[in-house]
Amino acid sequence: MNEMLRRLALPFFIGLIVLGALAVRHVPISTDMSFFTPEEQGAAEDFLFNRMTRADGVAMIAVNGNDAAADRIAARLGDHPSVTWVLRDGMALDDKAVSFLIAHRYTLGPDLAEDEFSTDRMKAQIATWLKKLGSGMGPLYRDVFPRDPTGRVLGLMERDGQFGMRRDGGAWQKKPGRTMMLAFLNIGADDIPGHAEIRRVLYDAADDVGVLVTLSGPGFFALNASERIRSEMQLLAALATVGVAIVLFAAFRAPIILITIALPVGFGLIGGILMTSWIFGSVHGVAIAFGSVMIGVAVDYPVHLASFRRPDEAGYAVARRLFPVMILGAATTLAGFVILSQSSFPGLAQIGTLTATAIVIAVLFSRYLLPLALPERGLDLRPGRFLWAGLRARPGLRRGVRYLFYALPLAGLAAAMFSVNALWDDDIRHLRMASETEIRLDRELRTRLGMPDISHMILIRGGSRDEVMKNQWRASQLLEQQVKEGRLGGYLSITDIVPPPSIQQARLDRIPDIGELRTRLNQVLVGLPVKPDAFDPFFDDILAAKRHGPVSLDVPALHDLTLMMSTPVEAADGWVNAIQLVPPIGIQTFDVEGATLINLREMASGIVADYRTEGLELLLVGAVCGFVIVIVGRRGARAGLRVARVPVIAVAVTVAVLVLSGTPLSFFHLLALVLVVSIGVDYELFFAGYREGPAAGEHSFGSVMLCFVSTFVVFAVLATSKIPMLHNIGLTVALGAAVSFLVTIVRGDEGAPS
Amino acid sequence: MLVLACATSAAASGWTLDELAAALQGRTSDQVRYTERRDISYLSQPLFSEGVMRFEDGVLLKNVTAPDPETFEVRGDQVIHTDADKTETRFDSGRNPMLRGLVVTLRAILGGDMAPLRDLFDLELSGDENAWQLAMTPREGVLRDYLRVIALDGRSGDVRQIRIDERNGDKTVIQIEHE
Repeated sequence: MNEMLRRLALPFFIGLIVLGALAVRHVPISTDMSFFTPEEQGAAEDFLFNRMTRADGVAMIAVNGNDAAADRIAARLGDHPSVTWVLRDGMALDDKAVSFLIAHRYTLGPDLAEDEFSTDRMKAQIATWLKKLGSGMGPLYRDVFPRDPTGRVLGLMERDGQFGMRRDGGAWQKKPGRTMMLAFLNIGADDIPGHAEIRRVLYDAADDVGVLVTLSGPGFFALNASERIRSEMQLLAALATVGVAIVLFAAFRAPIILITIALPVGFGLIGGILMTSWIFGSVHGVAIAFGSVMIGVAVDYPVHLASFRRPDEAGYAVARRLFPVMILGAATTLAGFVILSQSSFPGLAQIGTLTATAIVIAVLFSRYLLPLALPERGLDLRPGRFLWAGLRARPGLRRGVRYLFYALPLAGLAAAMFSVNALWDDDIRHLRMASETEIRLDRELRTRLGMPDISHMILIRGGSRDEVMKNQWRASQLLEQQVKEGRLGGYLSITDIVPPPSIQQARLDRIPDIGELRTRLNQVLVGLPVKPDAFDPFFDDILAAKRHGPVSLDVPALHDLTLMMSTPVEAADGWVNAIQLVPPIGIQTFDVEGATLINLREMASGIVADYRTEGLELLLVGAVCGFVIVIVGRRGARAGLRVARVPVIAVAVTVAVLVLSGTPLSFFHLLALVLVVSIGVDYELFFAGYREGPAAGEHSFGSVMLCFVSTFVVFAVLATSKIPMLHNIGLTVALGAAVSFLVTIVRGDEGAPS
Repeated sequence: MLVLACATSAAASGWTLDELAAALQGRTSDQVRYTERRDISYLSQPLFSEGVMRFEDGVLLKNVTAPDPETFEVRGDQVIHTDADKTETRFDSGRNPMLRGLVVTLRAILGGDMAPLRDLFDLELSGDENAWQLAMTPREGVLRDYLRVIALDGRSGDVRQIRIDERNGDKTVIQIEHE
């Protein structure tokens, strides 16, 4: 019966893993900025994250080809349902938007001229109109002229006769043989598959036409980063798997062990994802990625079970024997992650929850179910026996190295403390995944398209939406002054298109009544080739504008007019909006009532620093809890301290090496150090703290050595990554695991229970 | 039916639409000089302009020389306008029915491409090869809402005058001189 169970166990578990993976496919996985969003945030943070997740992505495109090629590409892009609008060589508006703008020209747009309705101005403006009517473009202006004797419509036009967003920071920079395009998307910058589809459509169209195109935009940065991570992860995972397979095969000479060892981690990860999804409603992709790395320590459980298994010993017997040690190690690690799950940052809380759940499942699975699937064959102890015998034969060497390991972390930490190198790195730019080429291209396209800068904005605050609009109007007036004085390239402010209602009403109040306007126009038309009733449509417009009153920000027709501009949103502490700035940005401070210049890069770095600080605080609490657990588990402070020595030395040496080598620590290093602590505790408990059979410790040594070599292979491979986050984690864990192993084996005999 | 009637009436005088199309295609010179007079209902005086027009490799070029220099380049439905300051504006000729009618007509008479004319207008050809008149009445849609008729006068493959009557009372008359 037992034999039959054993034979069926492995396929049964693999089947369960497949079912679990199918269940995980239904879990909502988020990839937005919520991972980094603190639960309680200020107005600036709230606005930043709202903006980044809003469905208003843009694609900045340069077509290296003639007009016909650009036409065809623009048409193909414009047909895609995710593309709302493609602008070519300028910010032209469509007829519907132009009609709306003309109908509300006295309330929308820049301020009216001082002498808007004076006879002198009207005479000059009518002369300008007549010249335009006589030009080849005349038919386009035919119906507008009778509505516009004051030239207000002319004032809203761009220099090239198109209606556009005048405060866009200037005209697009044209280059012969190249056409600039701006595609507005109805998907957010975090919709990676959506951006992949747009990119495919663009590249296909360019291929068909036979021209080269370049593309950038926030969503495409995310897409490129995700593809880079995926391809690098695939390569690194393949390398690491091959490396670990070789190590394990050399140790056990049984291919099946590879699957057996993956089972606790597989069940743990699936359980962790499901639990996190149940608690948080969804799981963030970053939490899954980190969780997968963090539960690496769970790989050691099956290795220990297989290694410590005596000839003819039942799988359950060895699991029962090792369980107290396994559960103590797991509980110590759990302490850190359970505390982390209480973080106010959803990202940290998810990593904590996912990893803690995964470790509980992995350890329980290893104890109660894995023994059914353990291979018959135990560990080949020959390499370990040889090394261990060598080490045992040189107690002097071990003693010497042992003192070195006490001295080294102290000296290293002292040197790191007094080193000129920074201890912490919170600069958001160091976390970015974009390559230098992508950043250069983005900057070039932004400049050519007159797009706003992404690192600076003026944040507008107010108690209500109207107050925000009033504050923004005042701030825009001052920014206009800065533009005129050459300290600012331009700015995008919604109040330049839709002024606050009070300003709109004041404009309407300035318009003379119809009788007065008629009298003035009759004077103006003397000697001009325009019939007396030509301007009846103008009087109709004036009456309609006065009847309508101010234009509300909620009118859907405003959408196209204000595409590049943000509208006020309700934040945690009132209402906020932003004015985006167009380079060059020469202003250092801007602090007027309700408006502040924000450096988004500094703000994001501040959030990263908060993330790191809270993570550090929680992990320190977790470390204290873990220490208490070890003391209780070891039944004494002295024994507990002995267990703590390995992780403490490993963390100290790793931190010292990183800082002294000029690598300041980030939040990702902290997470990696948690894994180093887990590994250190595990090695200490299973090697120095656990003896089976004769004091020779061959099994302990062999098992810990195998765990170390496989861990080291995985994380050393990860350390070769070009992606800073993966490199940092790989380097930290590989270094920490190496130090843990060395410290463990040189002081392995101390106080080991027999 | 109307087209058939027109074709029949023109055929009776010995000059058919097909012959006109062939004559337009057989023109040797692709460049013409023109003067344009536009009468707008709300203006008490007409507006005048003049210049040259040319059809080259499927692109219609219109160079205005007076009152102010400006150029139009028409590729398909896309119009690229460059003013005296070299400022470029692009727009779709479909944005303005009068412009669209004019562009289609100019392409037909300078490039010999009659197919769009046959699609958009009912054509009524009268006269003979030495003095023919073609009345083009928009069939439907926006073009019909804006344009009453476009009338061409010509001799063999040379169009001498284009007259555009709009429904709002505006009139444009283009006199063409073949070089």
